Amino acid sequence: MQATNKMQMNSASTKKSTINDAFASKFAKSMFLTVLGIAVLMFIGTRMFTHIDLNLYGYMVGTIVFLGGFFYRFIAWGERPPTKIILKKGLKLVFSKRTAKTAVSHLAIYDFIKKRGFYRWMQHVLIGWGCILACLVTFPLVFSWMYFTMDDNGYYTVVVMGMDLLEIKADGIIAWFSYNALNISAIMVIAGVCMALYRRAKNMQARAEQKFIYDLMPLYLLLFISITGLLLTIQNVFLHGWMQPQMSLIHQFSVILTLIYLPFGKLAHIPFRPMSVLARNYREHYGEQNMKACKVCGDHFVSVEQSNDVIHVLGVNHIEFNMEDGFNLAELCLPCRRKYRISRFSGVPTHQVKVKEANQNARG
Amino acid sequence: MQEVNVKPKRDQFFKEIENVHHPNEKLVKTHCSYCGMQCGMNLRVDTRTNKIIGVEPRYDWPVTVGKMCPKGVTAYQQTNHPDRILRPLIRDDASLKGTKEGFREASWDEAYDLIVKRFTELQEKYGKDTLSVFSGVSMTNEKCYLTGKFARVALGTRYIDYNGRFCMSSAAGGFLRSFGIDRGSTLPWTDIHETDCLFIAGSNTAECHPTSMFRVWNVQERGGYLIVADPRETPIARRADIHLDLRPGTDLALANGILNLLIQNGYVDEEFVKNHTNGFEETKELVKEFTPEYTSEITGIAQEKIIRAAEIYGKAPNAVVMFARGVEQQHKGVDNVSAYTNLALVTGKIGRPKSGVATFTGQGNGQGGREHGQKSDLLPGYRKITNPKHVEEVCKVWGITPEEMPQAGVSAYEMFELMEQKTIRGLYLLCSNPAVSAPNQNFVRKALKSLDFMVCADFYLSESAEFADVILPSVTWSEDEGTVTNLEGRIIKINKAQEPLGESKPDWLMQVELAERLGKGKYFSHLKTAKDVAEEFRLASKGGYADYYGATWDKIEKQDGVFWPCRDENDPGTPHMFLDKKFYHPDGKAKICALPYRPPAEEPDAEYPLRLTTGRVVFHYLSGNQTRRIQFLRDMCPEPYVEVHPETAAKYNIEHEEVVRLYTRRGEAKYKVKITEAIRKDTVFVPYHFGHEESINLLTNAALDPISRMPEFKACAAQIEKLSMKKVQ
Amino acid sequence: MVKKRLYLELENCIGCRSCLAACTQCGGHEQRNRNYVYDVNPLVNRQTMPLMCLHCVNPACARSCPAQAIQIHETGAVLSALVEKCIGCQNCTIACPYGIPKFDTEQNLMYKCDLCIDRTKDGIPPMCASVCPSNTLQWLTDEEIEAKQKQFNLDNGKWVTSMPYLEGETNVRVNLPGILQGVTKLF
Repeated sequence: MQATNKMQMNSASTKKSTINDAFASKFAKSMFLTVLGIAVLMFIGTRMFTHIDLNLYGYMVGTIVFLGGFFYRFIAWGERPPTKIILKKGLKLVFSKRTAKTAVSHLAIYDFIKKRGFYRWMQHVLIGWGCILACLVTFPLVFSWMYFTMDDNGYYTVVVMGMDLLEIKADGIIAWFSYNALNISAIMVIAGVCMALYRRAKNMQARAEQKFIYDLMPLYLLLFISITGLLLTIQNVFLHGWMQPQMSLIHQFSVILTLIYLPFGKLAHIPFRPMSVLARNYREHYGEQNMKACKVCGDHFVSVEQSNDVIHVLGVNHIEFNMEDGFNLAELCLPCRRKYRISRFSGVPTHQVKVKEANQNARG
Repeated sequence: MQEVNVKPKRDQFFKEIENVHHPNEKLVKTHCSYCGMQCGMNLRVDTRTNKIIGVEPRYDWPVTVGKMCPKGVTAYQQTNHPDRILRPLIRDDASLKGTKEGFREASWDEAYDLIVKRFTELQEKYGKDTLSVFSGVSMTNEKCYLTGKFARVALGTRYIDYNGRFCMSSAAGGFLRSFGIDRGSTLPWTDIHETDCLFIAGSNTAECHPTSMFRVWNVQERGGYLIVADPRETPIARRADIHLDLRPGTDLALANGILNLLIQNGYVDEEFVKNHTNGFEETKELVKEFTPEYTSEITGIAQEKIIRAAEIYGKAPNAVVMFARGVEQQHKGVDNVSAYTNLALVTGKIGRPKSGVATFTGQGNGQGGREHGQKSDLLPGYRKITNPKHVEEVCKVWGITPEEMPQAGVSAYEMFELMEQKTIRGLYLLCSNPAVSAPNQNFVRKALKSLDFMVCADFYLSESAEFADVILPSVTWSEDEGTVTNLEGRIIKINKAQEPLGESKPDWLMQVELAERLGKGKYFSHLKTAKDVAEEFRLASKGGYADYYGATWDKIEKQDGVFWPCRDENDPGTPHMFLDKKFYHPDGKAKICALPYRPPAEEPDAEYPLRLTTGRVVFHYLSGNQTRRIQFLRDMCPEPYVEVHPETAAKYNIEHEEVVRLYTRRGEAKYKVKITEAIRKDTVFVPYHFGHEESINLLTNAALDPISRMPEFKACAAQIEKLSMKKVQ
Repeated sequence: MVKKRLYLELENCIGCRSCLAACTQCGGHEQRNRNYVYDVNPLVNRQTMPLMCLHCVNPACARSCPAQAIQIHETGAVLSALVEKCIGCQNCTIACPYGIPKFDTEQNLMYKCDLCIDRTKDGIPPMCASVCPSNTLQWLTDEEIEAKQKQFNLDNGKWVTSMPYLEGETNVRVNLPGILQGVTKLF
């Protein structure tokens, strides 16, 4: 399939032209289409560019630069053979029933992190949802997909995508949450980041593995954004706006910097995380279809599809594990594969001995 | 004074390696809590909570250079384990004895008062000797020393003995007879890998003393030989140049047979035998009978192997004979030890570096603990309680009169007999778990249950503690300091890494406080720290065979341990014994012993056709009271099993993993079968670390050695019964 | 700092599982051991062998990872999956020719030997090689490994560094059982 696609693309000039021919690269195409999409949405949202909050244009530029980095990284990454397979096959299955459930588990409530410890889960929920909430408020405002108009009667009108969505009381509860959404998200992120920093200071494992730039810098960036954001509110409420323009600039710069850095560091896992939903779909779907039986013991241990895919991917990397005994190592279940290696070392057919292996997973 | 190099020997295995230092953490140098290897280790202590949180190898310990077995790696987990007993426990309802039920927490005062009240009542009614102390040697010299004093001075009873009777007493007896002194190894372990031939009998070294193995393998890597005598093809036997796969309980015949070949083939060091030994001629006469043919008949070993083993040992320029519980836990254990020692004496391969005799001490302080008065007939410094001069010397240190010194008592197993006969009605048990480790458990448990009053000091609720009326929470090794004597005879220092958990106290402190309440304060109250006990103990050992007087804590630190005897401040200690060819019998000569062969006390017959032998697995230590609670070790070996040869299994129609009933004349238990060709066809093996109905000691034979009073754990007659149920979970 | 490698002398293994116990104690290992010890012929004898991650020069696990979660350290150590990147597809477990990576289904996370990177990055031997009582696992320089080869004097195919008994070049050196055959006896 893949090969055919490529051939079609390469020989496009001699055959039927496609939309792809208009672009110099995948990257160019992705950028163009995304920016175009945003522009269209803005056009609609701002009632033909009549309601743009120009104070926020810096964020707009930042977002565009972020998109550039994002597509650059994502496309390079998606071109790697193993990634491509999961992306392609996973996307095909994206409309299956299980997607919603897995997505909620992986992307919203982070079940798998809860299993790594409640503390880590809590910190992740705080940071994750703090950021999501902040984005949900900020970007619609930046691109003016949403804005508020003040009527005289003490009510705000919430305008979403150019339409008056609802009227809310200026001192009502919804309004309160609207003004304070960013404050709440800032407090969540600060709490989460502090938990993370504390864990990294205390937990030996985290210490052992961490690298300052990679692991700590994103945390400090988030912390900085959240604190400067909160300071804006404080200046507004308590200091009558003292130094607020300057702080606003600092805050804005920190957000833009983080946005630009995001695809290149640890935070890149945020846009890439949906891959885990695709991977789960891929495993579950093909697992239900046809399981591979271990060539030695007959246990079903992986889907035929994945086994073949892995063999193929390794082949692309010029790695081949075809044994003289007439099988590929990827066709042995893991215990048999290990015992087979022992048998290669010892000359004794360890993998043929029908005895359950000794405990290999005793915990300390 | 001769200038001796006091810096410890550092060999090819020693490498300068920095430890990993985590912030907010300190490393406390100490040694393992378990076997006689006493591997060096660093405990990682959180400096904010002052709690032990992990282990880090101690690369700078010259004996083990950072190496540890899985027990050692996880040993630190004992200290802050959830099963720790944190307050004294009292059980008012004696009918619940033998179960875990009925204990309530109490204050130390209440527990002490109760003990003093009941002990005093019993002694008033039945005499001083109605009380007994049963101790162990997995604790420091200081504690071992004070336990002896506590029994004799505070309780005033003659009945004190210890679990070394199930462990090291045969080695002690054998060495005393052959050399006149009992130091487990005549040479330091750092010599082992430099020898040319290792003759190892009855030691599953790879599982019981794993950190010796890199030295053992190195002998072979250098082109030396490894000879192993064991009924099972243990991991060390598997790689041996010669594996002498003898029947359990026939070691004496093998040793005599080899000795005979050495003599016949001219490997005798005539000069050495003439000048430094007695008893050669007599022994030569006796072993003549043990031709390869006859030896092979008794032991079941092929003749060629016996001949080849003798040839290698005889030819080797340097050789070390080593043995362990396999030969010692027999009702002729002392004879076995002397018989193997004969090999070294006759060939003169002793009293020089890289040659000698050594036993693998089982318990952490199996060496030091047996020297200082926990044995029924011994006083500190290996003095005899039956020797008036020795008694007088010790009385001077203790501040009592010789008349006040109790008589010699009886051995460990015999104490249970006296309990059952109601001669002994009270027991103070510490550092031991005889309800798992003693032979013939059905009898031992009955004896424990019959006691009027029993106190148990332990840090976990052991199987034996289940029989107690009062449990006193003691500390783990890492919460106290003191010295231990490892299997080389090297006195080393255990350091304190953490304050006692909860209200637990070190044993020496409990004994001091109890003594005070028993009105014996004037003999004990000056002992306020472990160091105080150490100072008194050094003095008490001064002039004895096992002289520790010169082994100050300072010197131990500086020299990486001090080998006893160490007689004064300027004495660097004695790494190699007998370098001057002087032995410790009055005439300065060693004794070559003529030892007629005796078969095991119980030989297989039609009803019980199999030989049962017992031993350790690498994951557990002694009764398993500690190691069975450590997750990693439990995960690796959760239950006992019976090793059966496939041909034997076929005879009984039993399969791998099937549960069978194994029984002897004394008891029975159910075990999963482990099929392996690494055992003799006429023998089955069960590890002994498990309690209650899983304990193999329900089946073992209490036939005692006439000298060491060691029970015959290693050989008895047994039978297997196939159960109808298959593969029970 | 002289580069040292993990060197396995399979002849020596006594099956004590110290390496596994020690593995659980390494700073970054969350009490989980990451390697294996196998009974070679369990119904017959007591021979055992460790099966450690061999830290391939061209690691199949990393090559097959769609998320680039498995990184290769500058020392050559093939690290455990980065927790935030691992998407739980288990390609690595299928790809590894030796079956080394372990997978935690609940945490949706792969974990494997990282050669105790917090130790080895500073030249301190990994926990397994530090404690191994039988010297099956050693931490040696290339010169020391060469000296071993000379010492054992093997030209009988028993001396192995990586190939042909392995599937590719590895950073860990393996020496098969049988080395003692080349030793000249002292007498």
